[in-house]
Amino acid sequence: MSGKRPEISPYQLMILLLTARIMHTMIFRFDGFSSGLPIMLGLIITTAVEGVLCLPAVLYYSRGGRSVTDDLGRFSKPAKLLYSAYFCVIAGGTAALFAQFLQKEFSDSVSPEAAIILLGLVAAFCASHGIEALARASSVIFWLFAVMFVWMAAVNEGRFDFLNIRPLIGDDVKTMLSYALESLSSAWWIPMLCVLGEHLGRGAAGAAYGFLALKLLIIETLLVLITLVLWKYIGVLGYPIYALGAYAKSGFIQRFDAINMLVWAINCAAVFGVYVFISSKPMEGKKSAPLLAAAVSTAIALYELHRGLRYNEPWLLWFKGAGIAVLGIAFPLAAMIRKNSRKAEEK
Amino acid sequence: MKKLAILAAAIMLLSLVGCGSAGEVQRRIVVHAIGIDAAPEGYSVSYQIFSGKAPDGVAPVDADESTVVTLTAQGKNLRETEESLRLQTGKEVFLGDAELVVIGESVPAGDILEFLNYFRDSDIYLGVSVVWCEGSAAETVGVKLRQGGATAILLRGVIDEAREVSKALSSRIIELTNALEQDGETPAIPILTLDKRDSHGDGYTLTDTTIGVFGSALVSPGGERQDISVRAATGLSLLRAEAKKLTLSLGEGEKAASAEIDRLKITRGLEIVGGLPEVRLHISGRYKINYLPAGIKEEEVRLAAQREILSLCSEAADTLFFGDTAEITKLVMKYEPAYFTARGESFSEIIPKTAFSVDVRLRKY
Repeated sequence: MSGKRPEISPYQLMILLLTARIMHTMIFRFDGFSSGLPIMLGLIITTAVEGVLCLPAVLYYSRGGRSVTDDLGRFSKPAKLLYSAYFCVIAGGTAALFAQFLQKEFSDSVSPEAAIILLGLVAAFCASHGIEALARASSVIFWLFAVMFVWMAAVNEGRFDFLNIRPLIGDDVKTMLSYALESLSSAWWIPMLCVLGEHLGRGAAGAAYGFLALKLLIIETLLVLITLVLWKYIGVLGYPIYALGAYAKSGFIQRFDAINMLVWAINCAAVFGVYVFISSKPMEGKKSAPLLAAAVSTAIALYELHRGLRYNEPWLLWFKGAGIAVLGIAFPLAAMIRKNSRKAEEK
Repeated sequence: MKKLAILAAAIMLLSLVGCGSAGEVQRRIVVHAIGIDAAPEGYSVSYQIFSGKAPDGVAPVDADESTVVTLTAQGKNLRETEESLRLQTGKEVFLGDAELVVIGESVPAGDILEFLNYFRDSDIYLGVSVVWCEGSAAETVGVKLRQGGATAILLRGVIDEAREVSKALSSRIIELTNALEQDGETPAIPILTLDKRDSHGDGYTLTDTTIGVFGSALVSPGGERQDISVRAATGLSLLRAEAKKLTLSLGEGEKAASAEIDRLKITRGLEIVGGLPEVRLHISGRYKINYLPAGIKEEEVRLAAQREILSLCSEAADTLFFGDTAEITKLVMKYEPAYFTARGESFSEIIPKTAFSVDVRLRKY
């Protein structure tokens, strides 16, 4: 993007990263999960570690870097392909888990395969409009989610149960670290930052750390709600944010389910769109690029749905973790070193 | 890309399930209350539904009569009864507006899990209360009072009021599902009772029907049912720290005083005494004397109220308390985590041996 005006602001980049993280939380299934102090502390540890892990990307863009992949020299093209493949898998997994949710909760009325194909088409359409349009749409969706989240929490009919907050015991350290590691593997916002940073002018640090602060606030709030109010109901319904809406009622809105689902669906479409946009970058400039990237992601989603993908499959954790290490840390670090050495040579 | 957009829009238009199943109000049956009775082959379900016309087609006598009618359908399960109702009326059944589910005395307690599973997958709000009733659910759902039919809102009001003064515990669909399926607890479900009294006049007899909650039924995950008195249910709401308000009648006959206790604050702690857990409840609140018989001092009423609260707790403890395995476990994990860790899997054997002590302090309004 050298020489071009910035397409998105740091605030918009932060929102893009946040909506993707929110989507990941929305499709989180509670099977065997336990909330409470260990998990809340685990999240704080993860956030602190993520704050360090994102430093190469943040420093690269803060020190005038234009594009991580472009600065990788002869590795530029393979790097672009790697980012593309990584986000195709992430997009496919996200859509498959969303379709599983639809299948579970609305088995009579929704065909999960049709939902995935439809999502793919919508995502391709969204991605074709570019990152600026996606960022604007995501801003609206984020605030829609934020209002819904606060509203549903405020009128939730669950009772506070402070017995669920208990002191830490020996086994909790293991739980805390295990959650922190799992949560860390969901930090693909760092590779996202590496790719989307090239559409940004200044302010990568603000976007990254603003995202981390808001993510911590939103997920910690959700964990507090799960621990104190929704503990008893999530086991029945499976999905925390869905449970938040399913057991909330106000004088103005008697049923939150439909509005909640609307926000989920459009958020999923927008986030899928962002992933497709990133995946289509190796073919940048070609009109059919978003459609091709969406087709690959959709095929992966259909395969994962058919295979019965689970949220925390070990191979997926390794895959996501490796992606963060290579695409989110190693590549920006290499790009920064190469850029600096070129500068030194020029001098 | 425009073609793609038009294609996506067209697919969305055709496949949006919310719009696909939309129907006009006239083509829907809006269910307000569901009454379930056992039938020779399955269940007989009475649906109290919204109706713009009086059932006999004539002008309504009063507002209540004009808005609700009760229709009955039979089937092997609730899905079949709903389908039967749809076929009887030619309208789509909508449960999203239901206020209450009433289960008749004839229904085996073990069937409740089947109902809860059905409701969990239906469009009913998960916060809807499930109650038992004395006699048939059809009679309760379709009962006629002097002022007209008992609407679902009225029936729900009776339950809410009983809960408000701690005579019944919360028994919403999601809570019961969680207690029975997830935690293996024994929830207390309020029993609605129709109290019919005849009054004889000169050549006529008037039947006055009132509705109230005069007990609760404990249902175990294994499907056993044990009925308990209102006193035991009140004690249970104290032991489970759910009670917010109490109305107490203290003494008997003309010497009985009446007191109201609100702003109840119940804190629970736990200590290990003699190697076993002891739950310690501290109950505090403020009292107001509604009626003070002549010759009785206020202080005597306060002490009597404190004794009555202890007695209610004791009655509940004798009846159930230790069905609350999850609650006891949480208390021990919170206050004596080392004890819990040391016991390991054998902890479940200790739970029934848990003792409890109650300390009550009341202050005046």
